[in-house]
Amino acid sequence: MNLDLRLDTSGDFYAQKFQPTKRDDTLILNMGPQHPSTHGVLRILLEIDGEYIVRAEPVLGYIHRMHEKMAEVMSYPQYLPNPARTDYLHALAWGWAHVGAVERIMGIEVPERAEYIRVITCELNRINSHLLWWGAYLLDLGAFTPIMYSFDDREIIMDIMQRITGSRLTYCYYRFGGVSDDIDDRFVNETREQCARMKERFKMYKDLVTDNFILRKRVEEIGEISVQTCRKYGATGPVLRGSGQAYDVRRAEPYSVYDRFDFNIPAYDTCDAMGRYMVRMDEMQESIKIIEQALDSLPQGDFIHPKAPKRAKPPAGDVYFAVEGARGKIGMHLVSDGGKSAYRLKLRAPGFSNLSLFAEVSQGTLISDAVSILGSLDLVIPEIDR
Amino acid sequence: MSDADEKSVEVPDKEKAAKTEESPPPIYTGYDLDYFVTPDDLVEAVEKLDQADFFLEDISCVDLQEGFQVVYHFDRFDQPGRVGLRVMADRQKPEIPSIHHIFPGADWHERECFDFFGVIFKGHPNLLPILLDPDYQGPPPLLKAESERKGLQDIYPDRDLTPVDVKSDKFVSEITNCSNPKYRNPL
Amino acid sequence: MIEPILILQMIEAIPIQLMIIFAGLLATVSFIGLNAILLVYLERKVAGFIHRRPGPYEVGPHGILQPFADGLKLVGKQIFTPTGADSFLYWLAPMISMAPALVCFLVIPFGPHLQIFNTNVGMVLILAFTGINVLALCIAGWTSQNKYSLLGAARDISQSVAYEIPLLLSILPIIFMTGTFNLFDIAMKQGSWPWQWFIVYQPLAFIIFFICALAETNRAPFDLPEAESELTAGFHTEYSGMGFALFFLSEYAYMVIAACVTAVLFLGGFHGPGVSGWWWFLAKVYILLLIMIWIRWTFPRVRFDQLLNICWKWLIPLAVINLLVTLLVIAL
Repeated sequence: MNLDLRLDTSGDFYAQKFQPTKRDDTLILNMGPQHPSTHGVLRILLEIDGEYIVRAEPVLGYIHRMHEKMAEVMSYPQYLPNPARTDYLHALAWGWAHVGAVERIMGIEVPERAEYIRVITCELNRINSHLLWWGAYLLDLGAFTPIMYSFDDREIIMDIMQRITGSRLTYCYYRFGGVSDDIDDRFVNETREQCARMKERFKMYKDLVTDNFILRKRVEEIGEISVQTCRKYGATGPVLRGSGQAYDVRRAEPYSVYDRFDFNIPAYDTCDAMGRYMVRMDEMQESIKIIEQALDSLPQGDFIHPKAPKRAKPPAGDVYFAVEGARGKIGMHLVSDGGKSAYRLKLRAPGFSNLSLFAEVSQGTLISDAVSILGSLDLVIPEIDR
Repeated sequence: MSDADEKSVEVPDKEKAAKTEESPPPIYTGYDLDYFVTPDDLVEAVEKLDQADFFLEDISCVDLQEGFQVVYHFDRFDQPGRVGLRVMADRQKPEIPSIHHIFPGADWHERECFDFFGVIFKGHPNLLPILLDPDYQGPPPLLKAESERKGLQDIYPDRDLTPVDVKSDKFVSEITNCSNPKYRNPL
Repeated sequence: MIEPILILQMIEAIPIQLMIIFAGLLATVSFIGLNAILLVYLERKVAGFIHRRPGPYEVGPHGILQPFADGLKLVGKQIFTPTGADSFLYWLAPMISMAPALVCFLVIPFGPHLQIFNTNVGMVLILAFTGINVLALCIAGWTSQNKYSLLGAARDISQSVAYEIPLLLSILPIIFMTGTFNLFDIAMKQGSWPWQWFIVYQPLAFIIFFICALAETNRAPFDLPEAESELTAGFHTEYSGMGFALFFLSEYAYMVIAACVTAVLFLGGFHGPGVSGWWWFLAKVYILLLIMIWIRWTFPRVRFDQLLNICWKWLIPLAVINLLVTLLVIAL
């Protein structure tokens, strides 16, 4: 019987590179790619001393699909469904980043109504994404019930979106110069009802979960990330706002009609997992505020520009376009040579940068805390691996 | 030297925009400042950006006839404004200094670039495949075929390609005062 | 050829106590089995109720055959031993976990005339035999040849050892008040009405005992040895089929034992308003079990160091103070 669990010489490439340090009382633990709390196929190599983490190294690439190469072989309209497959939870923001980049390089105008529809659907999608994160994070912390409640709410939002977009998760709704289909009164009424319902639900969520003593003990003062660390690693989104920096692309580089709405950018300077938790909980309420304002002032008109090009063929040049996704700044660097497919499309995944600080932050924490930190970063592995 | 003028937002005529045959030139590139930098000056330029409180968004790479164009995107939290640094790497010997000691977040972006294009980042402590299978044999997947490769002139037709002098005060003052014209103070 | 009369004589030669114990063990096994079936169904239905979903609904009307389907699945699963595991100890562990649970039921007074084995050391016997479970989990974690199992076992040992202390300290006041370890006598010392039960005299001891019982039975929020989101499944990560089923069964058995002991010590045992009997006992046990299930589906899991902090910094001092105050009152 081999009792020396320390040295794993039969490990793969990364395991062999990750040899233990000089200390002889540590253990190498391979967490993932099949592990309940890595949310998919993330793999983390840990060197642990008891339950304390000495060193951590994430290993990526288990769901890598080379979306960037696909962009180079597909024409622009063919690539429309692809961005939704990177981050399946906030698919519309990724779709928006893609159509936005192409619109900007081609100078396509988007009708006002289409911009409003984009804002409403994108924010609904953001609520959906945060709700799933909320449920899954609590699942990581060992509470099973919240995910059922969050799915209850997600289900209604997905039903609303399904009628308009034709899909429930990986939406392909935005087109160059607008959206694929107009919204109707039923959509507007259902969305209003859901917004009213969600406000009630948030109170329940607060009573049931946010104020829970055990939860607070599990997230407060865990995984403290300073603004400087965020800056050095390029972390954005709720991770950055949970560190007290109110940076939001919707405000910083206003795109679409976001500058017309009155909404706050929640930021908590506790820098811990609780800060990130609270940012997301508040962001859902801000999204509802935006949706309600957009529904109130929804203009009439075209939902897609009547002269929007069917076959996009942008001029040569390059463009960088960023939108605010549920996980942070989604960026698309599009290089066009004037052909009908992109010469190069670089996708900036927010989770990629957010996860890269995990190795530093997790040092010296317990395994349970590492799970809590991982969850609070809100990882979607297909987005990170692209 | 800089493309600060390019981002000026002017809405084109509707008719002009709708023409698919002959599209108008790009109106918004997303770059508030955009420089070509020599590989030797890169680290110094990045240090200056670090002092000006920029963060690294990502590192993109484009395969061109002249070699690899590695594009570093920087942005800022308090006073948003995007700065692009473009470094040309030689095709035969694609070596660029690593900036991982300034921005630890560059670690993974550089590994990704190495993965997809085979660009070597000198001084990187851990230049291993990150997204691709470590057992993958073959050319880097995003390399273009010889026939498909475009030149710098094809993609940036009216562009001054001379590298910026990163030691000059002009560079420092430009990046320090860089800001997105659309940016307004938070409510 | 043995004469029938001879067989009768042989049977008479067996001590009557041994026969009672043997019959009692058989009854206990069936009781545990039935309880497990009921509890699996109850747990899933209650979880469904808390989640606002129907719970098991497909197998039989309202899913009442679901536990049998689960059982069949577990029996039918392939049994395998991981490479490098010590197969003797590996398969011994689930049995060690299950066997003491059977013995514990022997001394529990279910009703005024329904106790298999009345002994003066009933309480001590239960404490001694439930302690063996730690060994089983330790062996399971150690021999699985899996790092997650090892961590789970390490957690289990420190958790069980730590919580054994406040558990004992919270039982002692009752023992001092009654002057006996005999569970039947302890039950008899309490009256029919709720204000005659020991929970009224020892509310703090009851709370400490119940928390410790949750921790000892590895129930959420103290289910750290098998914390699924951290250690995949902890000590039983590698077990499949009946190996896993035995751990599962013994977990439920220990839950029932904990509820039974709580009912006897603090809730008057089989006493109740009106006619006392086993029905009151079972009702109390099931209410306690429902509370355990309710807690499991409501709270997040605590962290390991917090778990130990609760024990060493709160439960033990409180239990000691409680014990001292009780002694003082008795002495006066």
